[in-house]
Amino acid sequence: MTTSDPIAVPLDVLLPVGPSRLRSLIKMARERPLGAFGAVVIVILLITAIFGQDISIAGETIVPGFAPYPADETDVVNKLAPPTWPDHFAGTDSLGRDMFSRIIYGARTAMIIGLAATGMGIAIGTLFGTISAYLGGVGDMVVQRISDAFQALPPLVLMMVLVTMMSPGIGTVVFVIVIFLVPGTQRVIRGTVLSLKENTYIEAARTIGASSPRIVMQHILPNIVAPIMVLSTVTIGGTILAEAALSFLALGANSAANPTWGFILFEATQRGQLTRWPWLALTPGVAITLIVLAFNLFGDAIRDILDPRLRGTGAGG
Amino acid sequence: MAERNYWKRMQRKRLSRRSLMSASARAGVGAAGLALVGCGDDDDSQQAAAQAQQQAQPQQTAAQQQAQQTAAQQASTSQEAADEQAVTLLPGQLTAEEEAMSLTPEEEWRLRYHWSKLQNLPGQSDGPKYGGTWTLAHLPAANWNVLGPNANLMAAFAPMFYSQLVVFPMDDWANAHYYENEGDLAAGWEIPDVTTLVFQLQDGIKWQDKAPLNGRDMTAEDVKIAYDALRDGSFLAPDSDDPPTTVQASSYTAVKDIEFDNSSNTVRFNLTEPAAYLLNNMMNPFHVVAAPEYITDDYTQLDDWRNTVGTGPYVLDFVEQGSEWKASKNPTYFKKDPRSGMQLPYMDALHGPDFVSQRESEWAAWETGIIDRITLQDVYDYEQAVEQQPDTVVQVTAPPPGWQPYMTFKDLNEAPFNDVRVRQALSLGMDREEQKEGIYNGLAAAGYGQNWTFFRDDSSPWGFREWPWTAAELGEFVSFDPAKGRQLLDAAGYNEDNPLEFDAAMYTVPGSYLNLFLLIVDQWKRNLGVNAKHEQVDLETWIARLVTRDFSQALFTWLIGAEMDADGLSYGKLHTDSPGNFYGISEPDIDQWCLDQRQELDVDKRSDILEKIRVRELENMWRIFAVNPYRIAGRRGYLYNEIDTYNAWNPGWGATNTEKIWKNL
Amino acid sequence: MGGYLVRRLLGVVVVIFLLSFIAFMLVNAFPGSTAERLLAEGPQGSGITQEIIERFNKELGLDRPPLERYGDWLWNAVRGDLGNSFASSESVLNDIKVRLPRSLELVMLASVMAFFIAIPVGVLSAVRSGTFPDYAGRVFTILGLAIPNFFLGVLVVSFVAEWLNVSLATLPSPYIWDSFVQNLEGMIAPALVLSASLMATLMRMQRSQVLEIIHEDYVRTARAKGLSERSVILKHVFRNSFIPVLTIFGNQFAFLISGAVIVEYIFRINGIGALLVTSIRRADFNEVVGITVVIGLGVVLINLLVDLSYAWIDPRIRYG
Repeated sequence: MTTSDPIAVPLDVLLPVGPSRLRSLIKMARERPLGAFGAVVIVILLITAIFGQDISIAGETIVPGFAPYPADETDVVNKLAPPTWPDHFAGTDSLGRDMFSRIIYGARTAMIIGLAATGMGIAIGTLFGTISAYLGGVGDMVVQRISDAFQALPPLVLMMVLVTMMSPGIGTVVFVIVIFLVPGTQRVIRGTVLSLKENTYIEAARTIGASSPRIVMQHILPNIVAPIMVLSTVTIGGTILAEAALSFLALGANSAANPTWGFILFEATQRGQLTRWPWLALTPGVAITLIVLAFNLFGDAIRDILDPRLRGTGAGG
Repeated sequence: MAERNYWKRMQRKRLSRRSLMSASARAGVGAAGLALVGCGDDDDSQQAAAQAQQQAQPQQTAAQQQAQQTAAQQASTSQEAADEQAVTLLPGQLTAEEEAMSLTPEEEWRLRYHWSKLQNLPGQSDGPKYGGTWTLAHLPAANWNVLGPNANLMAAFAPMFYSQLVVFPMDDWANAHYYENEGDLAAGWEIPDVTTLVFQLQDGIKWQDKAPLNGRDMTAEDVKIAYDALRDGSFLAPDSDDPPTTVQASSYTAVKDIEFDNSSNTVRFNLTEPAAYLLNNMMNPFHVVAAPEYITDDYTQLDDWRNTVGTGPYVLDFVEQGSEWKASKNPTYFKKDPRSGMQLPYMDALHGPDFVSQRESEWAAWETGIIDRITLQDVYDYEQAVEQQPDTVVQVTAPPPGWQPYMTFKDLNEAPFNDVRVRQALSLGMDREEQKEGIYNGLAAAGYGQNWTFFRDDSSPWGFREWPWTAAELGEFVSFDPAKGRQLLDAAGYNEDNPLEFDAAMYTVPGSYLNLFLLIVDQWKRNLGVNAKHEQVDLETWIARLVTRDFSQALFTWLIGAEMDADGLSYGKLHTDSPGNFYGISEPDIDQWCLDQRQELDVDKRSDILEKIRVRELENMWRIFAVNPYRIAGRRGYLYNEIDTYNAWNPGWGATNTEKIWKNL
Repeated sequence: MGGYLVRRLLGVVVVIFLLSFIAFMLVNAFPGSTAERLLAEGPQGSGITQEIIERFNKELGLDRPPLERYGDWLWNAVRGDLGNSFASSESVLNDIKVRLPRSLELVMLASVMAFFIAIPVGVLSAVRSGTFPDYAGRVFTILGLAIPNFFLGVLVVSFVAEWLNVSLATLPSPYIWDSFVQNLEGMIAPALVLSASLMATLMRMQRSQVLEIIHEDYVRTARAKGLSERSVILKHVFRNSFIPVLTIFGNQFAFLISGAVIVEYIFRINGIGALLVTSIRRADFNEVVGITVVIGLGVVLINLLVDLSYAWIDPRIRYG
């Protein structure tokens, strides 16, 4: 307990793990109904994201989507209609747009941001973490202090400032989430690499004259695949949540044709009188909650499987 | 057409009832303001008349109430009975004749909650009472400088703390759809010739008892200095090579100089040319008299709310940025209520907590009786307000021309919008009926960015017709005709194979304006096959985008700018050289007509010029107007004199009436 | 201990310096919109012209290079002056002073609620594993981590308030020292919403720690000594399980502040979070940087306190 880091990372508890146990995934999933539930919801979301709206290439629709209506098709005669089967399964909003279709359209944006931001954030973080740990010295110290500074900034604040200064949109949102993910990721990876570096086989490789890149590629990277996977699954939920929070403040990736869930909820609150039109708020709110829940449960299961030593330690929050 | 006649008849009835008022009402818009004379000498007799009227008022109202009770039994057989009934109706009530008509929702709401019914409210006869706190949801200003670049934001605050030479009256008897001129600091004014304006100031005006003024007497020189500061930034920074331009300056371009005479307590404005708009523009609620101590020292001290010291009815006591403000009665206020003869103001204190960002909180405050008034955005809000507070008094007000939804183009000389047929087609492809019903539940009408007082109507007591316009009056392109729209687009080279596509910028914050925009985009897609892509702009910079032209092709906005006079909406927005012409409109005829109307003091002739401008713009569709929603306001039954006017949606804009608001608890 | 403290405090200074630099450069990296944003505030922009926008920028000094302005800012900040708000000309430090008590109260109330509910439930859930309290606790944990605080806030403001027939978030709450009851009435609901996810995190950590420790040798020994179950749990299990829980709290603190920003916005509490949202929208850079630095300082200091408290909780830990 003599760490000199003013800020510890929530994911610090992810200590180095043993060999990958990916193969036992399916078997373990059977034993973990909650994780399996999460996986099922995620699969449904993926299908919705891909096939919910039209798949078009260069303006040509290749596969028509299964959403009943376009997300921006207005029908003011039927505005604020309560849920009815089968026309408007989840009711309509104040422009008569079908809530169910809007949620389906929102799935794609949520998924794109969840996957892209998480992937890029973790990739860049891994790069920094590995280099920083491997090189050590002044460079390492500078990277760590800058990380400290970034992590002392509340994440939402950082993201809000950046989105406001740039202009809202998918690219901007992905960019700001990546910026926020990098410091935490690099710290976890750095810790893992540091302890790997002390391992005797790496010492051995070094004494026989292996080059640094070679050591990294051959000995270090394969050993940090598991923590990266764990980190990714527990992060996606948070990333989707972050985008939803930004959208709720009208700073997200919303557009008329592709509404985001956070923005649909914001629309509901701006409409007001929600006890009169509860479906306006409940539909997007439940969608966000459900998908975050699914990723949390799935992430827990993955972690337990890949690294049983961490079972149940609330990491990732 | 039957209905048009009906409106005329309605107004004639009011004319007879209101003959006493009509004389002062005529001292109104634009040219009339300068052409007619409201001299200082006349003032005493006017006041006496007002007092006489006030004394007569209780009996009259009692009689009216009685008449109203019996009216139900008597049915409106004779014209006389109908007349009597028409004037004693309460807000929300209609005459039997009106009930029998098949009114559109917009006509029905407008009639039910017409401003003229506020004076019939029970309790008016008791007369004003002193005391109490008026609480309203109101975000405090960030910057309180009435001379700074943000001064126009002070329109919602300045009249509570400062005074002006001229104001428009606001109480339950005031015409919410038409501005009259009323003296504030000025007891009256004289117009010896068309380029001179002499104001006689009220006696015994004192500055508020706050440092550095400490309650000293206000002089004619103070007024001169304040108006010099308003019209010319070099008075604020005499040593600067690059003096600031105040936002008020454009109203005073015709003013050559201002003279004062402390002994006779007069201020004289010398003009270079006749200015039909001047008196009206001076009523703008942010053209106020600031203290010379600040003007001659460092006017940026006024940024700080603590330095808000004026001659107005209330003293600003407390501001917490982003949260609330509080004010208390100015004990040395100079004004008396011309109607009751009582010393103003009536309320002891004002309190403005902010609920702007959180509508649910505002509703909670309304339900628990914390706030005394609420702005109702639509019919659903109305239903909720009345359900929560059954004593709610509702007023429905015509929408101001200065704030209404429309689309403007980045460059009128660039394809596709350089082609007038494209612009006309976009207007024809809008289903304004669907907009009206779908977004505003029927409470809107076709919009156009000019003062509706352009439509003269001699049968009305104030000489102009009440809004709205019929679509027919707005020319052939303000109608829904998708087939013709497609024809025009086709002629311009856009068809199914080559659809018209463009970026349309709009902010992303949900609400009726965003909804309207999205509906219009969808209408164009459905009706014309036009693909307008939503270019997202954040709310905070969206207004400035209009000014800085920072959008790619088209901008959807609702800002024209609240104007007190037709000049602001014609010359101010359409003349090539006007700084307010953000639209790239440049047409020799329009420019000439805009200049002509500025100097035309004859009301009828000026109206004719303005009509030519209107017809020309609507043929060219330089701006495409959608529908303009009515404004609904709710106030508690115990609150009096708290009204909206068609421009000064109180408390958002103009708060002259705070001095006259009273509570009957 | 003394040397350790000095090193840590030096670290704090370095981090805060870096943070202020990053924050200042971030907000200044995309210049040009401050004047537009301030002028366009509210719907009455009729008087704006290009000329006035330029006048504004000049008055705010935004025409100078960012590095030069950062130098000025830092020099003033060291002497305790965080500059003036662009919008109101009010001193930033003063603005923060007015609002900080409310935000502190909200965050502290949420933390206290989280600890007081999460720790006992977490321990109980582990000790009585498989019973109803355990399941209830675990369901709450799962939901608490998944439901976004802005959704929870909307549910509370719109639905719960209606069902309970109470009105939340009406008038601005007075300071706690002005009116204790009225203040708490306004603060309890937002604090509960804010604490939900922290509570879930802590509960989960507490449960898993107790589950782990309960099988350790020294616990078995304590039991064997004949200590009552109650004192075994309190003296041995709880104390040893608490450090990781506290660590998680330190780690979560920055997230808690993020949550507070949204909760203040939804419940209309005029704390520094709400001010920050407004200031970001106005591009009021001085205000944004000032608040960010103060929040950052809070996060760093809380983590320092958490680290120092280890020694107090577990006397075996010594800092050298």
